[in-house]
Amino acid sequence: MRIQWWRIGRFGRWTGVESGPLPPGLVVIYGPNEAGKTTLLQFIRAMMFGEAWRDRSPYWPEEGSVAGALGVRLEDGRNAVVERYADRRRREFSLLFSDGTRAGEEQWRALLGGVDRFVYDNLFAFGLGELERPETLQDRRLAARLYSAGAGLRGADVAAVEQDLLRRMEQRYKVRGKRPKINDLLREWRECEAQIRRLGHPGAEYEQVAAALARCDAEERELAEDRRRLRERREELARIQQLRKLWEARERTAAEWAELSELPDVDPETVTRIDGLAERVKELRASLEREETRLARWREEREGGGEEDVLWRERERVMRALEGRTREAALDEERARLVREREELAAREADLVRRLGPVAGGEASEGVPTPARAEAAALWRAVEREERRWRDAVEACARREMLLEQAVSDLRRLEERVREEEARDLGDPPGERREWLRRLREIRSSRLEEEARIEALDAARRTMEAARDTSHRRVWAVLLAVGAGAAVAVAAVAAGLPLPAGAALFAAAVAAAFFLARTSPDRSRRRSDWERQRAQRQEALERRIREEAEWARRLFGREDWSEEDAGRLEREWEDALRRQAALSERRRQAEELRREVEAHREVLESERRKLDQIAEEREEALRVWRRWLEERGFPPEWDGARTEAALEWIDRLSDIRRRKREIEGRLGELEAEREAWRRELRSLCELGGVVLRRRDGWESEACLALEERLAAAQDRLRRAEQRARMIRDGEERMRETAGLVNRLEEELVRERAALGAESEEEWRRLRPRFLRRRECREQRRTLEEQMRRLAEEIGRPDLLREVPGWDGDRLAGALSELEREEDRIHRRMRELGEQRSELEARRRELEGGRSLSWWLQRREETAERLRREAEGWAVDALALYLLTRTKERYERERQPGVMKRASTIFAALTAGRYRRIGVPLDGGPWYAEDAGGRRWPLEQLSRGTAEQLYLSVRLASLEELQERGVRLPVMMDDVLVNFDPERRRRAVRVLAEMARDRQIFYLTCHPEAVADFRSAVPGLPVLDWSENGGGAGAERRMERG
Amino acid sequence: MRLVHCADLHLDSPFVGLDGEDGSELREQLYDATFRAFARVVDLCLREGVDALTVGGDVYDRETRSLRAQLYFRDQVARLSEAGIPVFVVHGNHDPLSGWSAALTWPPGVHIFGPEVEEVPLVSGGREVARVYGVSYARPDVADNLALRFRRGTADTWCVGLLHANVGGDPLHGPYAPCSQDDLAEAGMDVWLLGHVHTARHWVHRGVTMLYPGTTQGRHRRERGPKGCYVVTAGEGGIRAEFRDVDVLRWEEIVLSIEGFGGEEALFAALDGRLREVRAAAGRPVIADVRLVGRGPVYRFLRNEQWVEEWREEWRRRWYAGGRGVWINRIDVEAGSPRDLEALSREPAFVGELLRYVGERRRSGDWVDEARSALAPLWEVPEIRRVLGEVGAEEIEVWTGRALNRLLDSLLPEGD
Repeated sequence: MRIQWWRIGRFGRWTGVESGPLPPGLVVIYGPNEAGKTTLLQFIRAMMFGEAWRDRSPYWPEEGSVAGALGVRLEDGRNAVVERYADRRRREFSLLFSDGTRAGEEQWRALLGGVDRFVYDNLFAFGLGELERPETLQDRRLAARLYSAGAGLRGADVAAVEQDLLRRMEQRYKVRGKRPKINDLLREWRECEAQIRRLGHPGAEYEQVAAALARCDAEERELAEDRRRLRERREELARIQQLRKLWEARERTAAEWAELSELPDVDPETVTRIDGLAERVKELRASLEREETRLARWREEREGGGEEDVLWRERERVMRALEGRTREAALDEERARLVREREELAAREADLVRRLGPVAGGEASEGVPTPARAEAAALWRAVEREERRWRDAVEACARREMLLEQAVSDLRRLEERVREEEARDLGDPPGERREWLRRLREIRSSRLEEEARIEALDAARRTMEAARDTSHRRVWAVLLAVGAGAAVAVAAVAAGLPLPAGAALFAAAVAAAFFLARTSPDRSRRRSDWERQRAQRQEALERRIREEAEWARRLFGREDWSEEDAGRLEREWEDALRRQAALSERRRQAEELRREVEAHREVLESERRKLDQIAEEREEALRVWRRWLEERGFPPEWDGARTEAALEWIDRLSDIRRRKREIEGRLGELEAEREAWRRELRSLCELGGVVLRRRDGWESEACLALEERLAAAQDRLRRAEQRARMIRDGEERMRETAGLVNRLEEELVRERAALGAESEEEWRRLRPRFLRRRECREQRRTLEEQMRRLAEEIGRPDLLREVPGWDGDRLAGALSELEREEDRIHRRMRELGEQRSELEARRRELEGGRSLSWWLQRREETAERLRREAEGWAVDALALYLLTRTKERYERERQPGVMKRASTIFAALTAGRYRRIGVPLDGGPWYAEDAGGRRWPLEQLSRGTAEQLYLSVRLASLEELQERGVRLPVMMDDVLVNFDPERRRRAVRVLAEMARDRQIFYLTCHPEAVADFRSAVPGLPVLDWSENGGGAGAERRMERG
Repeated sequence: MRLVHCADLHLDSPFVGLDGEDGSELREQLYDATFRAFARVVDLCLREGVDALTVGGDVYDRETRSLRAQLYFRDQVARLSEAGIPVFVVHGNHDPLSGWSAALTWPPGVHIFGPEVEEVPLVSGGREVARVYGVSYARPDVADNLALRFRRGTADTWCVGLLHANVGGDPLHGPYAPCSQDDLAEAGMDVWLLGHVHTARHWVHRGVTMLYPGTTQGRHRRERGPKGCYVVTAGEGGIRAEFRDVDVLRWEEIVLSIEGFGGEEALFAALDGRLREVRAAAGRPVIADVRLVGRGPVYRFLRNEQWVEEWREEWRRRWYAGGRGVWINRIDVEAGSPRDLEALSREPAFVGELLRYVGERRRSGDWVDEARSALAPLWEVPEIRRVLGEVGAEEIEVWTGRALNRLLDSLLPEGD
């Protein structure tokens, strides 16, 4: 990866700074102090890995946000733009590839090859501060991440994975932990075990519970028996106590009776009746007093009544005036409606006048007579008709002109073509040559036939020659047959068979005779015929050949020819004939076109004349129409529709004006009516002395006042009448009540006197004694009856005689004692009930076995979870173990390579003064070994040499990472400042060499360093920030040495 | 003669290896499962009208027998007693005679065999149809060959041997009352009704029918598939055994390959399909252990334990709380991503180094001990050791594979 450009939106003190295109390889940025070199270094780091507000970077601008972009070229050849923005609340990242695709930060991290910010800051983009911190190189984190970076992990971090595994393991299990899952499950498992141990042997407990329940039953039975006895005794004592109380009450009643027995026996109902009479008299007297008070008040009210209102006398007029208010409201509505209508009409009138114009819309043009309308319609139709005719004529002329132009154009084109073809060679027509060719073909055909005949003759002769050869073979066959016949005959004779021998000889003789008879004697004659015919045919053939050569010379100019030549010749003839025919056809067409053009011209002339005539008629119709319009004050440009509409508007205008006049008349009537009503109102107000406060809208105030006055007068009259009636009724009632009171008082005195009470006071003294005497008598009887019954219930009627001798306190004491005992038994019974409930619940539980089963099931489930979590822990533990071991081996095997490379670089930087950097595997301190083999601890090295060693290790690490595919831009901020000139030049050469295949930015404020770089790399690009330091927003100038 | 034989009821015993939830309906079902399974056996006897029920030991799960289990067992056999069906019971290593027994009154027709072999006639319809020979364990750890104590009597009827024993030294079960098939055959019984092995099977040895009915209710992930009892019929055609399932819940394992799944939707759909199949095939609620195997792109989700856990919880809710009767007990991810480990191990990068190192350690022969030492911090906890036992070589191998997968998942981005 290399940086192609950067754009600093906002970072540090910089805003809107953009670099130009940046070259690959080594780039030196030169600038004095405060030019912004370190800011650039921080910016590159921030763009690579992001920046957050919580990092408290000093490069965060005061505006509270950073923004920027990097253009990079990736290892796969693609270009990409990384853009970042961050403020206090949010962070945004964008990665856009040159092919238009976008990706997230995860992919960007993958492109960075697993290098994180820590590694980048210490190996890729570092300043003197980082270089001088040796501890970072020995930091385990750096080592771990260094080996993660480029270890093929593509984004993962071995250290992070280790931490994650440890975290996961600790989430599951920690020695003496409480929260981890396994610790928790172990606690649960132990609890299950304890519960199972407790519940695991239910037999003994079941029997204990059963025994306890049996004990409960026995004790409950005993207690129930005790309680029954106690209750019986308590009930008996309670009755006796009750008997004693009854006796005491009877004794008290008897003593009282002795005092009251001398009084007459008065029925309580008589006392009640007398009490009722006295109460009734009392109530009536109170009623009389209340009535009297009320009548006095009413009379006073009647006396203070006042005079009759003057308006009440004129109430008819007042009522009419008030009704006028309602009518006035209705008239107001009508008035408003008329005014609105008048306004609308005025607006419509103005609109129509505007449309018609001042003349046509004037007051005088009201209404258009119907004949005028018919006239206008007729005139306009005439205009339209003439217009249509004129347009048709114009179109006809135009159409005709177009046809004429078309015909003329076609004629010109055709004549041009005829001329062109006439000028061109059309080829020779065949003429008599077609006949020559036919003749030549016939001659060739004859020649070929002759050749075929000669061939046939030759073939016949060869057949004949072949037939003669066959005759020789037949002779030999006959001789052999005869010989064979003779041999057979000899053999037959020798065998003594003369008949077969004779037959064989005869057959041989017949065969010889037959063959000799078949051999023809005219073979020589046929040969001579053939030779003769052959000669004749040969002669005819030669003649044909000569004729063919002659005709061929005539046609083709040579003797040899073929059908292809003949075909080509015929095609030429056909072309020439076709071209001739086409030329003739075009000439004919041109002639026809000329005639057509003339005809079009004549018709056009005729139509133009007709058009002029129609145009004059059209003008005449228009003139008549416009004159008619002018006569009526209409604009002359109006057409028929517009005029018709205008006539319609004039009618409407006339209607509107008529309606306006009607409205005006009606408004006048309404105003007169209102004025009359107002006068009446004023008159009534003056009569009634009503003072009006308002000037505007006084009518409603006056109406309201008049209404109130009338209502008040009416109300006063109504009240006075009501009071008079009530006073009369009240006086009548008082007279009746007073009579009743007198009668009742007489009756009351009579009743009391009958019982011996001459006065009210005497009655009040005797009355309770009468009542008590009767009560005592009844009470004594009741008590004696109750005592008798109780004694019978107890079963000892003789107890009544003993009662006077009993001690009440002793009886109460004995009863209390019994109640206390019963309470005790009750409490015990309740305790036993609770105990029984618990025991029965426990027995049910034991019988149901649920709790033990539940714990057993829970233990199994806990064990299962424990098993699962332990497996998870084991997997993580094994993973961690394998990872740690692998990492150790990986580091162990890789580290020597890095240090060997670092030693080489260190030797180059120090011109061989030191040859090796030593890093003990047991983690001991690093050292430098000089050329003589002496080991120098780092603290004994000079500052410059130590920095050269650290630089060497960093560069070696970069090389190592590059070999693993991690190639990121390197940025060094004046790290050579403490080197002596010679070693600086050497370092510059090393950096220049490394920059061959990676991008290295070297930031410096030292001109001598720039000079060293320029001398090491001819044509080195140097960004000079000396003039425009501080990042003022201008693009930096790049110089090439 | 027609009888039902069951064994290993393990009434009131917990389910092992189950990840339940407190207060869930599942726990209630588990709690009743062994009881309801036995009730179904009794229902079967009543429905089939058999001559007897034989119980081949381990009626209860513990020597200290659960009172509830004893009462329940008594109540159920009382139903058979009322129907006139005798019950023959032997006790095994889980419920020997030495264990506590409530003072229960057994209903008529229930015969519980003692510590010595007894011969009891089986009377049905007023006539003796068989002789039942049986013996119970006097104590849990019976190591004697009890089969040798059985001898056929002189009765001319079917002779049935009822015994809780490990026949043929099954290594997966405790070596209680060990005996061989020959020992059983020589006892002269016509049929051996056995108990102790939790998988149903029956076979004929030297003309003698022998059968283990298995447990009536699977209570462990290893006790998968149908569980029940045998209906044994002896007649002129010989002895015939017919298996009937009575389990209330069924353990099933679903092995699902993730190969070919492009996204999680496909994975969900495949699992749903398998769950539907398993539930339909079982015809009763199912406890399913899901194993995801193979390699495929969907592994990018499975590598996240949190994701898998959420998935399991959601599917439990859908498939169990939704009334569909499938409890997803666990989802074990044994799958991996489709990465080429061979190619990675050849890379010079860190991951290659890791793969090479793991390969070397596995081949070294010391890896099991090395891994045990790495796991010692947890395995030294006594409870862990008691629950999980010693870590075996096989477990080390499996865990090492998972550890390697985890490392690769962490070190390599998705897709590599």
